[in-house]
Amino acid sequence: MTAPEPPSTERLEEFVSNAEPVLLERRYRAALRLLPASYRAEREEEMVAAFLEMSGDVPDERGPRPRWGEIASVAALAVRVRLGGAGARAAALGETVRLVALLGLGFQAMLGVHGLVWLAAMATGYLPSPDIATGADPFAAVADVLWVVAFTAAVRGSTGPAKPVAVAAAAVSLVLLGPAAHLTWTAAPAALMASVPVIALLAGFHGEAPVTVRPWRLVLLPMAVTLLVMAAVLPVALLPWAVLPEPLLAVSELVQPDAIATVACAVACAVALRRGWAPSARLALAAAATLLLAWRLPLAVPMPDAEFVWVPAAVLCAVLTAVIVPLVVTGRRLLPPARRAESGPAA
Amino acid sequence: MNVTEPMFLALTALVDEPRHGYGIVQEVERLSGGRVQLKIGSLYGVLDRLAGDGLVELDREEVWRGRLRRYYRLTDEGARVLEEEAARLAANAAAARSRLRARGLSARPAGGPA
Repeated sequence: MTAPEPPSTERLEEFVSNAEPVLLERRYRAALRLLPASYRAEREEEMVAAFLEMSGDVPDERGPRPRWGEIASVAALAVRVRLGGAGARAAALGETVRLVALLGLGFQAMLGVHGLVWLAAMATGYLPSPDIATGADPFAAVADVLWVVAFTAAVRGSTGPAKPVAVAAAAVSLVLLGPAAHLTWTAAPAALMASVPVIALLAGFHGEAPVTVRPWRLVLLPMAVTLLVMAAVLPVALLPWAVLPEPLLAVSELVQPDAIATVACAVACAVALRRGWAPSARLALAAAATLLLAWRLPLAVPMPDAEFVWVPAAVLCAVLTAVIVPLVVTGRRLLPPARRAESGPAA
Repeated sequence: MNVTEPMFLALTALVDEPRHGYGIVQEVERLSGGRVQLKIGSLYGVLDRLAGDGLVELDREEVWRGRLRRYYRLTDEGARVLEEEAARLAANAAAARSRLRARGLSARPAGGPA
């Protein structure tokens, strides 16, 4: 079947009314500004026409506004268009957000495994001192399990079930932060680290996003590394701090799961720059590195007689800062150009 | 491909004739007995996806009461996908009905009068 040639939009737009828009139209057009300019150039007139047809004539005196459901549908469309709509740039940005989600969930899963092992070590009496363990709260164990499940589901392509599990994990983690809220230096990055991956998961894995089932080794690698390191660290945790030499204390600070993740991220950032990884990977790593920088920064504040804590943290922060900037600059430069506005459907 | 209910209904709405945005919204509501009321943002999300997969295409543009209307029509590929999806749903519905009938027959002796 040969499609008839549609008349040009430019010619038709000469006949489109240029009368003063009514209040409802102005307000709906304001909501449409959530959409990218290139998309609006293609769709705005017909969306406004469809919306006004649906709403009927409503006089300005009644102060009409688009319903929240309509605005929410435009917002959802804006997310989809920006993170996976037509065009290579939107696809790359969508992939960036999905990678941020996976990296963030992976980080939380590492912390989760760490917390669960601590809890198990205490429950079995291996660790006699309860104040050593940070994962002693049973609610923390719930969050730990939920993060591990959410990460596993997301990596294996089950992003539908991963979303509510990740939301629940973040909710429990954020509630647990409540009592520590006075520690603003650490609570704020922890809240970011709990919420950003979940927001990225919800936004990036939308209905039109490609479904990718990633290999099991990506699930197992971060958890196995955490377990291996803990197998080495747990015996050290039994020793009184006073008997440990400072170099060993410094090393023990670097073999915490968050420090391992930071080192791994810094290495991946350097490899991404050297080997010319895709812009989505560069930008995702830059975002992950920024979150980790915020996470490590409170530990990098110089404290007297605690060089074994803040010096390694400061070194890691300096490395992260050094790689974030070139990743963002090159990632943005390598992104495909934005789609140019064209007439006709967004097909 | 995963055909969601709004996509299925929008494709069905275009079987008999090309329709413009609000026309599709009205027809989808009619087809679903009022259950599915597409918001405009959702409609264009659905149309983007269908057009991107080559299931619908632009038919013509008109100016109606000073406003632009774009009409969309079903492509041959869209008709084929709709046919396949309809067959799949019909098979699912038949399987469900058949099992419910079997359940009703087997339940009758236990639930009936002694």
